[in-house]
Amino acid sequence: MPIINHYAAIELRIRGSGILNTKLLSMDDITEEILIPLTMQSATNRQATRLSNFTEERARVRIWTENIDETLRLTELTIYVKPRATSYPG
Amino acid sequence: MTNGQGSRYGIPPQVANDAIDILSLYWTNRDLGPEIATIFFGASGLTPGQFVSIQLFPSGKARQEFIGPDGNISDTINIVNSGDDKTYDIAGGGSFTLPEGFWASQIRSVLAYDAGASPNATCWFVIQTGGFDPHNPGEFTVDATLDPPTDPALTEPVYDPELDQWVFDLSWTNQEPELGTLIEVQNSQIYQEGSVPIPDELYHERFTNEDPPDLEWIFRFYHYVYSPTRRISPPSDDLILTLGPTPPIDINHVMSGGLSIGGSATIFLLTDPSGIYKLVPGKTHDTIINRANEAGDAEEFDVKIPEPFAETGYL
Repeated sequence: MPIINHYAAIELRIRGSGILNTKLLSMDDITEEILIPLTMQSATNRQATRLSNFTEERARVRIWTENIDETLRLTELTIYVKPRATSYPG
Repeated sequence: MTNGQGSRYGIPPQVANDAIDILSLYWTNRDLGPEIATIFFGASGLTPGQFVSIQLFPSGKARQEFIGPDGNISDTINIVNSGDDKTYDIAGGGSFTLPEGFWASQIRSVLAYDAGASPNATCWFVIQTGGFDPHNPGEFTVDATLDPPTDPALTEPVYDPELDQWVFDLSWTNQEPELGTLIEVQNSQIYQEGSVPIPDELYHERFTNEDPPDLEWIFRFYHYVYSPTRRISPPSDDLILTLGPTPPIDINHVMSGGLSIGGSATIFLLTDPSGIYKLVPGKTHDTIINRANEAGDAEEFDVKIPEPFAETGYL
């Protein structure tokens, strides 16, 4: 039985330079939610959190950069998920 | 009620009711003509919110007559409300009732009173003050300046198991020195908390609520005149504060996923790209090297790595 989950936020321990883009993708990329980009720093005492409102059975997180010489080091990625439903209507 | 005894030659009388701390009676001696008694409410302390009546009890050679603005004896006196510079003509003898809606945050040169020419003349006086207007038993409004409290702040509600209530603190800074400030909180219940303010001081009230913190509470600040039931000024703008922390996200299952990293191949648009690749540690971009031309010069182009990404597995 499928479980429909609500993906509420992601939290990243990330360092680098440039702008990091993130988004959530459903299976087969049917739906997606692009999260707010974050500006990376070479050193930071904060973990970046990006809120989301994404409801899917399964989801994956994609991060990417778009400009030259952007670098990053991602050491931890936490995804906040909560079950929302156990089946589809009907 | 406030009373005291006037004395001559500018000596302020004793004020019986120090709780209000408002009153001094000042007599001046004119070279010609009768003396003028002036009641004023000094800036040394709090002033009453609403004056109801003033009674004068002269003794000695004092007479219960007023000195008009023209210096002549009259049955009518002028009272100037210094708060808004309204002038009231009041008829009376030794006692008169202040007009409806009379408001005074501070009074200066209130009345002229014929105290006679005797140096021994004294005058007792009784001033009735109150937190309501006797002329208007209903709600009344007074043209009073409202300086709303500033810097309001709320603490996060904390559940007190002994009280079985949620407890939170509201603090603010008072601006009005002479008025009572009352806070009205509107929610599923209405709370009223009053205080006697001191200007520019941080105030603090504690509230409790049986219900769990709601999303939004409205706080209104009213100014009251020594009375918890009479408003004398409109409320400040609504102070809408959100109570309670956002409920933490309940993580009740953890899934694992893999990680994949990818990107696209660099697109070659050069006239004659070579097939030489160099592995350079720490390099953050791609470099395309054009094959040397006839002159023997090789060209290099730094380009970004196309669409680099990483993604988790499905969660």
